[in-house]
Amino acid sequence: MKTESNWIIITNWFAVRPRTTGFLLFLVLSIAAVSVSFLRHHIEREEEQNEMKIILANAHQKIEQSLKNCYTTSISLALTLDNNGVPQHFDTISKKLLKLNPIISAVQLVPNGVIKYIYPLKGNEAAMNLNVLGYNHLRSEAQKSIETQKIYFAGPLKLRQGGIGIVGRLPIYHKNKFWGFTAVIIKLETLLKIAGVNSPDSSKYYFQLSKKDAATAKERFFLRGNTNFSNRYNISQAISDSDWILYIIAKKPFSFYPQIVFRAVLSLIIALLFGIFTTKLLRKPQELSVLLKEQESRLLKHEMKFKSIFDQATIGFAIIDFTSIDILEANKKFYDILEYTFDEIKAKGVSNIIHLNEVDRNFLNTRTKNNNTSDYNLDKQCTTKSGRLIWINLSISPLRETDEKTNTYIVFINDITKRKKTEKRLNSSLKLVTEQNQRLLNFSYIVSHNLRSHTSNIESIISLIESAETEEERSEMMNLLKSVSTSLDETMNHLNEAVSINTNINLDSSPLNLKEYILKTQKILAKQIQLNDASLIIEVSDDTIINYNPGYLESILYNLISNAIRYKHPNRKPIITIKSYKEKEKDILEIADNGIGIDLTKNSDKIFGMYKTFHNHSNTRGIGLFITKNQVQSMGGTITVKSIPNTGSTFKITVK
Amino acid sequence: MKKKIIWTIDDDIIYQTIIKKIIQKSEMYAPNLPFYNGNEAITALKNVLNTDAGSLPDIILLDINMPILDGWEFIKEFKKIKSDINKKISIYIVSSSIASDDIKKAASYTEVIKYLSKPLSVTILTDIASENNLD
Repeated sequence: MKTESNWIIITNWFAVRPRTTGFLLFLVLSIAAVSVSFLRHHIEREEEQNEMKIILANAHQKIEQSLKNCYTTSISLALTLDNNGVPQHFDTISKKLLKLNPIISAVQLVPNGVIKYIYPLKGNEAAMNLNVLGYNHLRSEAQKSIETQKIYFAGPLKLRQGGIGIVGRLPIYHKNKFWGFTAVIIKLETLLKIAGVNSPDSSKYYFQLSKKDAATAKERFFLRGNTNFSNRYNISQAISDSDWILYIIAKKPFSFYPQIVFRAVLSLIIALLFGIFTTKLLRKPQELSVLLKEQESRLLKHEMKFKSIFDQATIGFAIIDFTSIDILEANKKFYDILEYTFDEIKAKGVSNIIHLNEVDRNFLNTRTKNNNTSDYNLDKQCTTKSGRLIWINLSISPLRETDEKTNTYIVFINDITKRKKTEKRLNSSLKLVTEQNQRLLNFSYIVSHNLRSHTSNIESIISLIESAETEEERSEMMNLLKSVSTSLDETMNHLNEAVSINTNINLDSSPLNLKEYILKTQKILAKQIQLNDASLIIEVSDDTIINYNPGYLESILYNLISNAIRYKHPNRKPIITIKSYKEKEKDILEIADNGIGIDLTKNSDKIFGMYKTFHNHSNTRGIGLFITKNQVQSMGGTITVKSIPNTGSTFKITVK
Repeated sequence: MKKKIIWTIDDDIIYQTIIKKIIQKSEMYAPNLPFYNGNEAITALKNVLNTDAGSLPDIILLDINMPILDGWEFIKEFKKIKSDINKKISIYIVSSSIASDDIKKAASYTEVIKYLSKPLSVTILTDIASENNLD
């Protein structure tokens, strides 16, 4: 654990210091690389030297072996001498010996230093009768073999018979007296060929053969190639029975190895590159982390911004999973409007609060399927936690975070209770205005029609009066005029009544006991009820209180009940049922009769009109229902009628 | 010249009295038959058609606003029996209404010859009689 943490500390130390780490890495790598290249070079050199040693030893051994064989040949040759020191069968034996030892190009017998016998003679005639001891340059070497009494290889020297060769001379003593030499002549070329000296890997090294001059003590070299190789690697071996030294010399100079330098430089460059690369590599996370921090702070800023927009928005929004209809997130306003907390909404189910029903959901699903991304807008009424009934405008649209199929929706809610109230008020005032306008139109029609019928009558009567021929006729017309005047007055009163209802916008209303008023009306109509044998069934509880204008309530009850009696069915006693009940939190007053009824398919549009009468009844005025309707409407209510001819009618009044 | 048979259909009793006088004065018509709503008139028409086709009216002065069967409804009913009537009956709408809707509506019925606005006068009735003499 501890080492691990130490390791982490060390790693971190390096990770945060890219430049130092890079430099250190460069240093370590370059030292290692240079050392390795030197080491390698050293090994290579050693290998080369070993190789050279082996090659040299090999060549040396082969030369020595060849020379040993020559020695054998020389001794064998000496055996041709008979007791008198005269060679016997020299040619025959020589031929055999040459066959056995093919490196020897010729053999000689040299009695007293003069070449007398040569095999093969052919090609070597020039050497016959040469006194070896007679020439200075030959004598010293010949004498060397006499001195050592061993075979001594002289040369290489230019042969009289041509070419360069070496001559191995073995001194022969006959009867303890120096007789001469046996000599073997080997072509230098042949010897070198056998030793493999001529064909080493010429790219790396070469051979050299030298001999120290006895007189001058100067070294002479016999092979081609550089003789001054003191600055190169070389090894040498002396060859026995001669004064030769065989060298093997590296072709490349000893001290200068551009390869090493090249390798070292290359290693340094690589190390440098590694260092730079490491620095860069280590810097990358640093740069990235800086970038990351920047991004992070930017993101945070954005998030803060959005968060504050989200939270301070005057519209409530929530994100909803649409498969489970689960709230995922919402802003403050959303909770403020609904008065619920997130957990409470989650527990209660968001669709139960904002009333997303099956229809809405199906609709939304279809839209999503069809890739309709526009928002779905609807107004809903919902109840807040405190039980307040509010109106909200709900706007739902699929939330697309990616291109994937969306499953979350964003829901905007806006409290539009005030607007709805205003709208409602506006609507009701529009309705009121429309109604008033309608009444006004109706009124203007009444004025134009009903008043005109009187004036036209008056006009006609006057013209008839003017053209009357008799007093009787005139007085008849005057009477007619009087009745016109009466009915005109009546019409004027009716109109006045209608006008007063329509102009009384702010009528005083007070809580009235409905049953009391019904009973009061019953009392007023007692005479008619009695005369027509009518019965009133009152199904109104004693404590039904309605807010109404007392005069209007009286008038409405009077008109409807008296109508019910008036239009009784001729074949039955009138039964009038008066009921009151609640419908949609509103008080309803219903007055039903079993009278003659009205054919509503014909008269539905004019039943509540002025001077609309449906029966040829003597006391029909055609004003009652008109007045009643106006009174009900001015109290903010409605009046409707259902009727079946010959069965009865039911008037239903809604109290506001 | 044979006096024209004229029917007046109107629920206004005063008007009926007046028109009776005017018709009388025009001296072009036989005494008129007053009806107080469309239903009375159509019933009478059907009756006369079956019993005494000779006393079918030449001219009908028809009010619009009436109980039970108003002017328009009367025309509807009249259309139904029109093919059975072997006599030209000219219907004139006579109304105190000067509402353009009523005038337009009247013009839409081929059975209606003219829309006349109250009050009627002797001259108008004389004109109507002579109009109907031409053809």
